[in-house]
Amino acid sequence: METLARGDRTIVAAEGDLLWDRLDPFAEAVDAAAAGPAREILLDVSRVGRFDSAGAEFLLRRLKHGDGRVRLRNARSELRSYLQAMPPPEMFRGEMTTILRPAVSDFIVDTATDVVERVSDQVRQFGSLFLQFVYFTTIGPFRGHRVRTDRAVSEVVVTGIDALPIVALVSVLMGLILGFQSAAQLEKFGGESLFIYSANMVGVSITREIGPILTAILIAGRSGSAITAEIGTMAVTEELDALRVMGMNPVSFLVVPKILGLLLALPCLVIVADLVGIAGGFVTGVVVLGVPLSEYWRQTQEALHLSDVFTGLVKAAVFGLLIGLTGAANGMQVRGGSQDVGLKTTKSVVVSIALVIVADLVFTMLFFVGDV
Amino acid sequence: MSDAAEHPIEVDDVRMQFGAREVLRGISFRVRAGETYVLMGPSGCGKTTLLRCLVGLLRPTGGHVRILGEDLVAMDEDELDRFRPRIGMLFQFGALLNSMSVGDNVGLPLRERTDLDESTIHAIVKMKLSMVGLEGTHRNMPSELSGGMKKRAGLARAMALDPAVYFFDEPTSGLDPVTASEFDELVLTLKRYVGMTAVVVTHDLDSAFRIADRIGVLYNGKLVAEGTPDEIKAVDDPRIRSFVAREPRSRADHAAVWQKFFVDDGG
Repeated sequence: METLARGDRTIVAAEGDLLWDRLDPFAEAVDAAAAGPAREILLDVSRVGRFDSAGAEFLLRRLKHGDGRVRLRNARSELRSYLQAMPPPEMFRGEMTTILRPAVSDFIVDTATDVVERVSDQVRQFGSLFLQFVYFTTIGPFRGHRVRTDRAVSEVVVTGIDALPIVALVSVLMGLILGFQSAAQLEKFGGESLFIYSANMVGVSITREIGPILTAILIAGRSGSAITAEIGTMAVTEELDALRVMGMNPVSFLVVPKILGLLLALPCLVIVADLVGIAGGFVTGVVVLGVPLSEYWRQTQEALHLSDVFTGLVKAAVFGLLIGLTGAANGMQVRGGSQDVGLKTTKSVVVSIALVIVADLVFTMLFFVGDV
Repeated sequence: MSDAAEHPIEVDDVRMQFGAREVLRGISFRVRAGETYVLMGPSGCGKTTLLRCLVGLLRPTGGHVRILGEDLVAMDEDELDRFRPRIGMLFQFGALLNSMSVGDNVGLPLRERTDLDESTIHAIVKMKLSMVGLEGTHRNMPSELSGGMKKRAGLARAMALDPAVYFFDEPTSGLDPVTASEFDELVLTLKRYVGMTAVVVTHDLDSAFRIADRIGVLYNGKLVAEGTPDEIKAVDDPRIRSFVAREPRSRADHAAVWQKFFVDDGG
């Protein structure tokens, strides 16, 4: 790089390849010349070898900033025609713009409005789908929208029976764990003689809480996501529109059977989870803690009330409804392409698990108030 | 002949606004019975939005869409659902339900909307599939079909309930030239034998000129020209000329502006 000053004109003789990783010497030389007093700066590019887009962008930027003061001297024809294919420097918009940092108060307000908007949007979608679900299962059948029980049954198979192994595995492990945990606590209060009460602790916590909630979380991850992905993909491939154009409401045709399937499958799965979970606690109690088999059995029977199991099942049905509605609402909101399917699927799983836990809290508080 | 029978499709000053953006700015045209009316125009001109308004997937913010004399804009969802068997639509990629076999896809409208027995449905499905040249594919799943076959199957499904009017969304896009012209032949055959009334949205000029009785050119949400293929070819409007002659919309020549940044002194 050579810089020559001739009167009010500075000539920068550039040499070498104008490539993205070799721009620094060019920049130094040109910027040094531009900082000087010269009225005209000629960048002699006749000995520039290869160049790439970053090199051309570099030239464009300097020409724009030069505002007519900087020009290129003796450009070879390849470089010249390459540049001419681009918008001229005055139209070039490659300037660094200062990023305005919003004030903290603005940031908080913006974030809060955003959260409120997103939550209210979710609630609106969810609510409208819920109303449609209620319509198509109660009034709809009398107005020509039949409930597709065959599809609902096949959904029960997919969401219910296929999920049995994983639900059973997790529940039996949970039963074993609870057996140990309760023994550890009971020992502090009165030694091994109290181990018999681990039957109470396992039985009640499995039927009231762990069974329904664990099953719901597994199903949200397994079936809720599947519902969103399937309906979302159908939105992308215009299958939902095709159904509408054929006069078939997608909610009645697709969503209602899926939700009904979950609504039926979840309580059934919870019954299995309860039984297997109690069996897990039984194994810990009898085999590890040494409680006699018949006593453990009697204690379990005494501890469990039918209402415990029943409230667990009611919760499970509500969880199934929530998972199905969230999954379907998110799937139907998919716009654009496959990327949105992924985003909405993630959202569906996260939101439905959160909803399940919120609903569980509500139930627990209701039952607590009811009991006291 | 009553007006609805003469013009099964009547579009009257249809407007569509998304937020502040006006996508359709007052579109009116009428399609005669048995006619193939092609809507064409460059990408983003609003033709897909217009088609969605015509089949009731979108409710226009203004104007009327009268199909067979009934105004879709004034219908509620239940009325639309009941009306829809009278129109058939072919989607861009067929939009077959992936979870069902080709035969079940074609039979779906029959099973949902009629009380026909299974053997009749089966016979109709086979008949419709053979009309579109897809004999023996009813057991295949949609994923086993090529793009062109999916469109044919989609057409067979649209034909299942013998609708009075048809709508096609980009029927030849994404097809190789041979398959595309085969599809055009199919459309012409159906027109000849079934007397199909159709609105076809396309940006495929060859196809448009082959199948159209009349063409409407959309530009920026307005219908800027309407006429037979020959009339459209002869129009002098630069917006239409550029589209029909496939000239790029604008390619400003920057070379001249660049000239002042070069200095040549041989030194």
